[in-house]
Amino acid sequence: MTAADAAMAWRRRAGRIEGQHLVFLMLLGFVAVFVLYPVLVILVNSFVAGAIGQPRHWSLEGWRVALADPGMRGAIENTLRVLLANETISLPIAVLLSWLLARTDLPARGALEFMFWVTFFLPSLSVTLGWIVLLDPQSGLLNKLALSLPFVAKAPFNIYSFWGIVWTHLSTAALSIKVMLLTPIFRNLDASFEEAARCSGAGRGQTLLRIVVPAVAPAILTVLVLSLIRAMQTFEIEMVLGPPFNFWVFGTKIYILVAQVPPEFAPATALAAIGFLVITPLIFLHRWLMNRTDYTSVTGRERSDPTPLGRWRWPAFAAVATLALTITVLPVTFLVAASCMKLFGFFNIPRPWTLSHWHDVLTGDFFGQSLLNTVELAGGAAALSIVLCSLIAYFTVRSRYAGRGALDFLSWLPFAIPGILLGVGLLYVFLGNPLLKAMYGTIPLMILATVIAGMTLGVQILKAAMIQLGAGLEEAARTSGASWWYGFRHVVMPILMPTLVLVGVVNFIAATRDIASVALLATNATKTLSLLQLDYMIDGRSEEAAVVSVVVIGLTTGVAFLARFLGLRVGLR
Amino acid sequence: MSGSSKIALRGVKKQFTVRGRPVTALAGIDLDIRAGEFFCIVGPSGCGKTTLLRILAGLETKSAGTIDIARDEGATRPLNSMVFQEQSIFPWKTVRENVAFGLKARRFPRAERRAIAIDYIRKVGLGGFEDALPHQLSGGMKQRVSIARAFANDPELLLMDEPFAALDEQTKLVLQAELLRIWEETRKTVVYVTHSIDEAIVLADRILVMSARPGRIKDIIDIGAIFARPRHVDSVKSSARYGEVFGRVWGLLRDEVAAAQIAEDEAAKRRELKPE
Repeated sequence: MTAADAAMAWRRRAGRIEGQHLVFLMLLGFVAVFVLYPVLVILVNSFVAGAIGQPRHWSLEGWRVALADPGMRGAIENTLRVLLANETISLPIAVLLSWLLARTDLPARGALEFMFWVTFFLPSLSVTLGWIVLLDPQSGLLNKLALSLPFVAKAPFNIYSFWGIVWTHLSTAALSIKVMLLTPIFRNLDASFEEAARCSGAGRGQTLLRIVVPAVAPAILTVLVLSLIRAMQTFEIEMVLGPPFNFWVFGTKIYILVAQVPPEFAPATALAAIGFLVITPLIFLHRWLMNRTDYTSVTGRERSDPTPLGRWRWPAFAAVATLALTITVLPVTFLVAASCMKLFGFFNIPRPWTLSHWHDVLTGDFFGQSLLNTVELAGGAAALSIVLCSLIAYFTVRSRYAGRGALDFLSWLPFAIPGILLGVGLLYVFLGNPLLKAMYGTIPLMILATVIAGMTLGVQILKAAMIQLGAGLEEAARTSGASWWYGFRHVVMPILMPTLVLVGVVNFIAATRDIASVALLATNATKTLSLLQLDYMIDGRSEEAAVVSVVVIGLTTGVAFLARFLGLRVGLR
Repeated sequence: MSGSSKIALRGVKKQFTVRGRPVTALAGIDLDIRAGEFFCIVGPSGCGKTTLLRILAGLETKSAGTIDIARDEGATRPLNSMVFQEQSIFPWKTVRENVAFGLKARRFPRAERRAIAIDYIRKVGLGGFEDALPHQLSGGMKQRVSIARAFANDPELLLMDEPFAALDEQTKLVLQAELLRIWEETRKTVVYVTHSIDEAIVLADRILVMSARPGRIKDIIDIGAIFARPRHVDSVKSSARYGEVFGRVWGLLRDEVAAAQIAEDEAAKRRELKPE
């Protein structure tokens, strides 16, 4: 026995882990430069007065303007009201839906789950247009149908209202993202809890409420806190539906300040800083929830048979199918119809149909290039986000590095920054650095922006999966002589494959429909379809906007189909 | 001391922080494990025996002390492999891919790792199941795959954490006998954690009895001096001295199990009195 030999052995072991140190440091550096730095730039600029290019000086003017705005309190109240209505309705429904889709013998549950994916992938701006066709107080088709009934005196629906906004949220991301996030977690839950409950004489409802829901409670809370944080920066739906009845929320207030000419960066950044103050405790709340208990529930074991629904099987199917069809097929159908109309939403003019808008858009100057740009941007964003998010999630969940808390916190920041301000922050970073300046106006920079904007969601999805997974299989790999990197590629990645595909697809879609974070970074040469759609809407050309919307929807659902197909192939079910 | 020391632990300590309170899992372990020895660790639940094993495996770090492991001259084989209590074989890989996992990670040529894997699959009695997926196997068969995977790696140390705890009694007896047979062939240094006294007696050269938390060495019993090798599970269990040895180990453990129980009850009471 020689101590030198043993020391060498330990050094060899240490050398094997050094790859891990290096990756962690690179990751921390990347996040610091591209997330922390833009945020700091934004905060600093809230204390600077004077337009860009003019002489600038320190000032509290931005804060004064932001806080003195009488509409500000109303906007924050409205944000909270929309949030409250959204969550109270969507959370219980989403829990029930996820359980039905993941743990029961609901007919066609695979197809139904996929429809909720499709719902999430539909660009909210496009769906909003679809609902306007149906629910506009004057020309809305459903209103006209209702008015044709003898006992209806005035139009029953108005999309330009509080409940119109809530409904549009529910029919786009609010419900579907919860179903998407919760279903895999329900599916991975160890069935022995449920079986134990059922063997103890508990009914299906009792088992769901007393056993299954508490077992996935951390996931449900994660999703809820995500929604709370997210609410601070929604703006697309409110931007279209709010102004006609003078309804403003936090996100639209910031957007207006930045988008107006000349832009008011100081009050906008001051508002964003207030947003950080609100969101930071939520981030810590979320982390506290995640750290509190050990929720490892996926082992190397297989899962058992689904819970039989008995006589509720077909009624449950009818309810879920109706809901899924209402929020996908209905608005999309009417959006497609609107893209072929002479006048957007007007069905009662003589010969309302035409394909001239399709012809105009497809042969327009920008369409081909925009399509190409969009595919390039979204594909790049998907690939980069899978690598980046899985590494960040892995290090925050599994490693014991001192910096992992910082990494975790930094991964949350992009969620708290309205996309348009992230764009501003990145603009400052890239224009202020001679090395990075060359990247301005290129697709890689836009990829970076969308990856950062989508980072939090990707990391959270992967963290939830990794926490549930436990360390057993990875330790088995390590003690079989695999290096950290080998174990990461051959054990961690395969186990997470369905989740990785999900993250890639989510980021592909997010990048495809992203407007806010790339609006300031794109040039005419790098314009995407979503920006083209926005251009048409700003010009008041709703029919052309509808055409581009349909193309964007085709692209996103196409990718969703592809991912599902691949997910079934490479995934571990 | 017969045989050279393979692992030398000096003053090894481990402290955790549980909800802000420091907990000592291991309170100074001094221990020499000989090369080629089958070394069993028994102790009451929570005494730190698994922690000790995980520290040896490099899965956890020690808080204090030194561990010296004598590597073989010019060794290229891995230092250790571990067999876990829970099923830790990869559910998406076939039996052969599971067994060859470590070899592939170390870039063995395909033909070589295939030959080694098949050899060990046969040794653990799974011949004919090379291409089966884990969900097609019983619990006992899965644990055989784990054992084959560990042996196929040809490590200097084999670490086993209650590998048979989740199996039924009959399967356990069969697997113990098979483990003994494979071990006799290879004579690897094995550190084996178990809560089963009879398993320890059947398998071990020496048994380390640990105290309740914080884990200390209570005694080390030389079984090799009582039951000679090669050993057979049946002949050990039917031997007249078996009961005597069992009684001796249980005598050492009984007080510790009681102490662990009292400590646990007190901790539970504290939690009840002071709801967090």
